[in-house]
Amino acid sequence: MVFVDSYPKTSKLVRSEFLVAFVALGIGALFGVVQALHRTGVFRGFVSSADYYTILTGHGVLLALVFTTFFIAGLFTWAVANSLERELPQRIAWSAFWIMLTGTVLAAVSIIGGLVGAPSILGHDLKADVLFTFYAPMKAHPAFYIGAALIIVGSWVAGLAYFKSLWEWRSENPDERIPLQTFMVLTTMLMWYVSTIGVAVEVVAFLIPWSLGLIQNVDPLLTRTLFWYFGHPVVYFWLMPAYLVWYTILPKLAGGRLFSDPLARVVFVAFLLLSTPVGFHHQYTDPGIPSGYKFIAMTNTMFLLLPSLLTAFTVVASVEHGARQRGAKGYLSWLRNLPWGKPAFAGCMLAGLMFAAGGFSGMINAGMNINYLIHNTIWVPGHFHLTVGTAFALTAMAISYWLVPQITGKKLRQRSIATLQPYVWFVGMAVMSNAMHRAGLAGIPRRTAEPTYDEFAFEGVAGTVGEMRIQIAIGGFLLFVGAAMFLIVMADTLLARRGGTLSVNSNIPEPLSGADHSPRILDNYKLWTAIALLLIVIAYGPPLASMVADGLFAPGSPPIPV
Amino acid sequence: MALSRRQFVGAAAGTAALAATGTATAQEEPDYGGWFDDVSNYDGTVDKRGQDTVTITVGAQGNNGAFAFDPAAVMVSPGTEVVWEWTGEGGGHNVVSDGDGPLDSGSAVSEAGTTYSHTFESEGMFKYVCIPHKALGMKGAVVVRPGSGSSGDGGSGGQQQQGPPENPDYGGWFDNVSNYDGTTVDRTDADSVEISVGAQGNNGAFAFDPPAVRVTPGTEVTWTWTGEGGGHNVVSDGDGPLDSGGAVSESGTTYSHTFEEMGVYKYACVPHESLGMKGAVVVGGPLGGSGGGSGGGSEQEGSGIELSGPQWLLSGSVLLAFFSPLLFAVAMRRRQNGRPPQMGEGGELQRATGPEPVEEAKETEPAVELGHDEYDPKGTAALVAFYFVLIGLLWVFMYFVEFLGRVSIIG
Repeated sequence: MVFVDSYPKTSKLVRSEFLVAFVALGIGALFGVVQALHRTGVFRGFVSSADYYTILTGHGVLLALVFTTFFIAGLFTWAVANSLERELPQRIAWSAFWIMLTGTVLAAVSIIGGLVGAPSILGHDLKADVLFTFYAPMKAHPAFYIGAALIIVGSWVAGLAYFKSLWEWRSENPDERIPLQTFMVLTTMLMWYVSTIGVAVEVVAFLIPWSLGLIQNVDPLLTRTLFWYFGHPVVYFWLMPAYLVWYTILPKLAGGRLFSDPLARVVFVAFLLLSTPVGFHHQYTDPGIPSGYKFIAMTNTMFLLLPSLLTAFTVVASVEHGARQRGAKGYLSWLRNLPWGKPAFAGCMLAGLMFAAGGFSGMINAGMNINYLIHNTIWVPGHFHLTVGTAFALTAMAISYWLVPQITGKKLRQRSIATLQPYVWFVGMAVMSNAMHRAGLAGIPRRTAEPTYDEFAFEGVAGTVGEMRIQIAIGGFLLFVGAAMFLIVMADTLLARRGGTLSVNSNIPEPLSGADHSPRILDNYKLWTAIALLLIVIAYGPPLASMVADGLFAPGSPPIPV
Repeated sequence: MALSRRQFVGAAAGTAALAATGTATAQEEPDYGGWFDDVSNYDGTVDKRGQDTVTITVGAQGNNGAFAFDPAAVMVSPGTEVVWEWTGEGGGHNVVSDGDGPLDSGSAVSEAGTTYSHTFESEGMFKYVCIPHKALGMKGAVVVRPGSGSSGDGGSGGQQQQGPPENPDYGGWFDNVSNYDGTTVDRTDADSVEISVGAQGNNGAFAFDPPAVRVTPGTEVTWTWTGEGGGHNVVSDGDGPLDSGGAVSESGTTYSHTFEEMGVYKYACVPHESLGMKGAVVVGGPLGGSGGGSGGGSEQEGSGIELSGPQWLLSGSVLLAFFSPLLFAVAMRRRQNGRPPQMGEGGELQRATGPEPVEEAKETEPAVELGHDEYDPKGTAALVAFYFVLIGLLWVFMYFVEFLGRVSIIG
């Protein structure tokens, strides 16, 4: 039976979550192409260079926070219902949805307010030109921070719905191993609970009172540290759902079976342990943090390569298994024997390939000394457009081609556009991201509307700056086209009539190595969460204590701009 | 697309009563076209007409540091020599015309006592900046216009003196004052007015109550200490007449001043100014009725937003995207209209007769069934090994060529 008929209530929830995600994707992509054309100087007529930062904030918040969180909520809702074979607790799950939606509207309206002259609402200018990383002392309208806080709180409540499902399932199946998809969802949510404490404290204890005028000053270093306590794990919150897709669905799409269930569990546990005590690697140039603690963050970050390398092996081996089951022979020629014409498969594979490249630039970012080479240059956006912008986003779009028919009961429409779409995204991102990396090596800064200076000329190692600009603009435009193609397919599919025979099949075959062969301790959430917290105390305790020791709000900074 | 700055033009009365700070409240304010939007210490144009020499401080406090010209906007008579004098604070500054103007003090210097002067012969508006700190808001303007400045230019028709408007533009003075609710308390009926010092507000006993009060000329204003919130004093902002001396905390302490001239008198408690312990006394004519000064009124420029063609396109697209769920819902409804009514939300009971049946594609059977023991992922091993070699080589390139090759970056 199709998912929509087995779990009609949960299907409706997933559809609502996806719909919000797709609208955010549309607006975010529009802001993205405006930026790409603006900062490269190809066309600057859409907005003034001052409003560029409003567009930049909108792009970051709508894509990295709203699109991701809503899509992940939808995917996780599906994964839990699918693997535990039950409807989710509706009241909790729907409250989560409405809390997150309220937060999204508040944040989005505050950002858009900056484009319409920042009207004064409740005594504060309605704007939020503070970028996705919303550092103090840049200040936004209180509604922006309240909205961001509600999105986070809503995601916590959504996590509660997943846990409640597990507890219900556990009472009926006391001795079984937690199904793999649910295991991945809950491990991710535990990581998310641990890591969002930082941003919650930052926003609720400091930024909201400060933006309301209840406190005059905040300590920028303390709030930045709290932000990055959350700011790096959030990338794993984006990545782990992509891994869930790659581990549990991609092998089936390739025609094979997952290589090893226990290996997948080890990978997710490693992320729970190591995702959070690494945030200082975003603050290598910040004064006031002892180098030794930056070094600890670097070491932890490098250890995080391990689960990703394990994933590279396991996922590729599972796909190879699929190719062999399709009758492929030879050392590498099996790569030809895969369903490259199926958009769900092709999208996930291209996303994984891009992530391999993103992994390399991530290693450079994480190196404590080599980081100075590219710190705050456009290399960094080049890196995260490979990771969140492709490994996550392209996987999300690709798996929608497989998932949306199941949660709607409607056949995928516009198949030819869908088939082409992952390749358009891949080419666009390859062109844009490559040029961004090279431009970063030439020293071109990120977060800059007009990166040109009177008495200084950037010099590229290979190629000219003008050529890089053109590539960034072309790549950005292709990505916009790619997003539009995806949205057209989705809109047409969602508007179609239900019925008939779908082109997708939801059966997920058993892994080659099942969970039975793995130690039960892998499913011991209490133990892993305790170790994760301990590692955080070691990595963050003393530096945070020294920041707080001179006063919670000192050394303080008033808001900028005044 | 920024909103035009609101400009309050004083009631049409004469200009005899100028504020203690010398602000040309009753003088028609020149239109600077948004030039001062990001200049924190701009507080109206200071009328210094009739003087032979006018001094402007370079590196005065403002714009989050010593990044201001003081006064930022000044009005002088033709033939006046304007002298810029460096305070030595805030790093190197210079004075250079915006665009093609006559001012150019050369490159930035930071020595205290440096001066630069220019004599303005012709009428007009001369905007200038400090180039290194332009982005921070270190901007100024000299307006050259005939007239005799603070002695008044005869008014515009001999109406009754009115002074500042009912709600003067305090220029952001009350932005962080929690107990200021946007109104100026009207006490023009009283001969003496009392203001309490150390009233509740600004997160403690750090407020003047009322923070803004309007009195008639000749009124004696008395500040009375509540004794709460530590030591307070009453000191004018800038050059004004108020100064109660050092901070005292005793309850019952008083300080009074009789205001004779119309104007806006801002003051603060120096120890708690940053907390928002600020106030203002507005000296002007009585309000209410259709007094003589109603001719000018307070003129607010239109707050229309002007968009260019592409900006319309962008805003249109954003709005369209924003409302797309709504359009989508409408489209869904229209499609469903052609179907039986029970198809709406698809409840369990209606399923039997309701939605069209859906089934999944058949699972594709593998051509070759490969079990756990028969499968050896050698192709994967080759790919992973290749990836390791590739990122290893790239890392060596990045570290030894790019990073170490550019020692200048790391000193």
